[in-house]
Amino acid sequence: MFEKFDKALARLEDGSMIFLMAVAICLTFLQVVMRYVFSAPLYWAEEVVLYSIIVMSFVGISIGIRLGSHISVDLLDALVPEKHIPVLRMIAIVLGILFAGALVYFGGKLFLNTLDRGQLSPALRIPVAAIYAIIPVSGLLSLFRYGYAFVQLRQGKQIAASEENLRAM
Amino acid sequence: QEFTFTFGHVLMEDTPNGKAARAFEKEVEEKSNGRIEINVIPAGGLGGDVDIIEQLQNDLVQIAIPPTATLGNFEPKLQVLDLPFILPSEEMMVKVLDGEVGRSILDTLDQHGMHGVNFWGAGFRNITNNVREITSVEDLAGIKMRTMQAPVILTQYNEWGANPTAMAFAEVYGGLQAGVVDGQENPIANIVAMKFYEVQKYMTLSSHAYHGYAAVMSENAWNSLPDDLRAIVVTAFDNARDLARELTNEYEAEELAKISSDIAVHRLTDAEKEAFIKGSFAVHEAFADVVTPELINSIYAVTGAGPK
Amino acid sequence: MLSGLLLSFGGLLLFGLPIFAALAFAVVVAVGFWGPFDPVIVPMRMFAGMNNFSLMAIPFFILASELMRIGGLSQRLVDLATVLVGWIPGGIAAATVLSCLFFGAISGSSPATVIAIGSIMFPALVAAGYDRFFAIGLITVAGTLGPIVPPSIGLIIYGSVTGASVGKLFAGGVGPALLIGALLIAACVIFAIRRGYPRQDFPTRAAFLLAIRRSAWGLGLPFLLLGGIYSGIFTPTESAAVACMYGWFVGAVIYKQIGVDELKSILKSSGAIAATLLLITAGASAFSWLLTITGAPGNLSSQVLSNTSDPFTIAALFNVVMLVTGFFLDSASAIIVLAPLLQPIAAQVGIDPVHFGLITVVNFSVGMLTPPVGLNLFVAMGVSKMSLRDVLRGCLPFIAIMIVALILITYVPWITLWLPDLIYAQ
Ligand code: NA
Ligand code: NA
Repeated sequence: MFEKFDKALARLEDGSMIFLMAVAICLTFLQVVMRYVFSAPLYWAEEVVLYSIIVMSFVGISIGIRLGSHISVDLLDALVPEKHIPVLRMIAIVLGILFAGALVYFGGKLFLNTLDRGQLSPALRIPVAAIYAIIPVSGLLSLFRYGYAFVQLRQGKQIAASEENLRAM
Repeated sequence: QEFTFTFGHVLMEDTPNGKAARAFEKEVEEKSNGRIEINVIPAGGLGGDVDIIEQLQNDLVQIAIPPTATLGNFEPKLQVLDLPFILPSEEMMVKVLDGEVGRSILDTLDQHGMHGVNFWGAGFRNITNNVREITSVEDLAGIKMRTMQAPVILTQYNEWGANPTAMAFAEVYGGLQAGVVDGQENPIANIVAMKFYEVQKYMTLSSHAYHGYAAVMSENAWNSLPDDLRAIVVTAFDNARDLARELTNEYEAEELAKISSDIAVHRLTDAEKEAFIKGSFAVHEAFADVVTPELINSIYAVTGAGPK
Repeated sequence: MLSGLLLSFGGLLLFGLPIFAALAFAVVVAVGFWGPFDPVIVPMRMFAGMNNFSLMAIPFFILASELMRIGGLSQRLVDLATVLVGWIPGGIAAATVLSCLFFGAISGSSPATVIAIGSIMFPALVAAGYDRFFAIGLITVAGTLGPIVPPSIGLIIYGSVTGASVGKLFAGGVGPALLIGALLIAACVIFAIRRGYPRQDFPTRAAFLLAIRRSAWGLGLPFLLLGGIYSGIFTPTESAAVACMYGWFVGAVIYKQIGVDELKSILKSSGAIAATLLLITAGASAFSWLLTITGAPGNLSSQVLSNTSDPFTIAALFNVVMLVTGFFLDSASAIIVLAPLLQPIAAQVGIDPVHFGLITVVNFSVGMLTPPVGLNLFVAMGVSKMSLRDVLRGCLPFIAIMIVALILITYVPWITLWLPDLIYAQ
């Protein structure tokens, strides 16, 4: 069950990352063309580009957990005997779960507060809360990822790790 | 002390409003005999204007002076103050903002977790550009203007035939220098602070919109103050507002003299201004539904500068 | 609370939380246990920390360099560089520094420079026989030339918070950039000779012409970008998007190396790399908010100043304060927080505001190289696929060179001021 959900989620995450990245690039380029060639700049382009990349980055939290591509300091690994490494992994995962929980809780609170106060984005005039919604969502995705890693570690599996994954996608 | 309030703003310490914030801090701390401590964090240390408003709504910051244009993202009625020439002169600006109409505008902030106290300001906005001297609406045709991200201002320049565009504040200097954009609008204080006059040829003293700051407190901070301290705080806000306006006028006169060797300055004549005002009513009309016709008319009633 | 913040951060980092999460979660822990603040500030600042268009240069340049790498542009440029300067001792390394100076003239951002130059020159240096520590250290440090050579986002921010002329600051950046560039190039030549790095044969006329012809499309890019920026067609940030389009066009249409599948996978991998970097900016933004509201940087500088009034010592202490701040803050936040505090004091002891601006920007450029918050290091990890420890090890000798340059720039005002004095002399 976990595996199937994992695959579906991964496809969704990857798909949105490709889409958002493409939107940001194309719009920035289009803005240059519109302003220079047609003298008709798009006043909303900058905002859409920013929001796309920000949403993409929040989605990148759980993608980074899946691929093990987040940058961390592996100082203790070198100091701790080999057999205790799984304990370290477990601590890191538990901390990750707490962090993801905080993201869900406080991100959700920010979302609700902002929704309540009706703040609009400067250019598009869409509710800022709609964009903030990505924060608790990214927290939920991360909770799943850390939870999955927790289960895998309990089952004694090695967790997929590091840069090669990122490049091999 | 009983109360500690963080006062966050994005202005430099040596600007008129930056100095007024310090004067406010001093007055409140002295008059309250130390029962209130104010912690001023200037220069965007806590973030930009939108960030500071959000922090104030969540009571992370208790006092702020965001631009009315930015508050328009939170309460659409605030946009009325950014309509071009809605406040046609310094005198009328004082009459509207410090009077009943100003109070009613501030009261609309209550439902957004803020208490509006009064209006400070950085002077009126003026137009600079590199294409030509601007003396009429027609002169703006085709000019690429960098503006704040505010619907009123975008509509205004579209209506006037210019091409408004957004650009991050930190990139404007380079953008003007290279010619990515031709012009921008700001009060003299910002034009001087950001050195835009170094990379702009023409400045028109159009004074088309007042760059007002609404002094706001977080709902929680305002409600927690007992009446005696409230009185002290409100008086200090008023004194700081008056100081900011006085310093702004002195500052503008001084700085204008200094930069006029770098940039050609044109002050709109009465006739030119009259024509600009006529060209602004379409913008007023476009936003009547958003800010309510009643509000616009109540301002016209004070200024007497509505469409005939 | 401050010690609570630093301790939780250290602990979280040590026990394996990613840097961005450790920064953000330490703020949650600190305000949750010790502070009067609602932790809702953390997601708020994470969002706001990324909500800055100038930062978009990072994802765009990452994508551009991936497109050029997969599309075959990078390899051809590397071949050309090897032919051109490979016969000089330390030639390719020197060319790397020159490329950073050159690219710095179009980019105001330090990590963007590392990505753009590093993804081309790192493989070239390694292929030419340089050890990878030397290669990545050189690139990571030379990347800081990006914001020292004008245009510079850091100098613009400094100008706006202190009132110094941006034009003079830009002119002031030229001297220090040339000094740092010269020191780095000197180091390259010395390293190369002492370690006996291999040299190529002097190229034949045919090999030279072939390399030029093969890399013509790649050579077009800097002209396109520089030309576009200086003629006002696009901003430096937008130039990164133009570079992407160009890289895609050449890779897909001319060299036919990038199909739809390749494009998707490039978008995905560069998006993931960009996200990890932007998230660190996001976490650091929450962290710096708490530092600022507790007044930590102000307290640090007033404590430091309480001991002395000697200009020479004050300048030295300022450097220390800025270097320490640079460990934790990114350069934009650090300038916003510290420059308004320090510049007036510097002016009192006779340091010119333009001179002080360059001292500030060079200090925080070093901050881009120091953990735990050092974006250049993380970008370099991506470029080289080396661990943080290895990248840092490679950087150390070059950081030492930066410190030497910083001392010279601090105590020899002429390095900074000759050009602004020349241009603005009346
Ligand atoms: Na630069
Ligand atoms: Na650092």
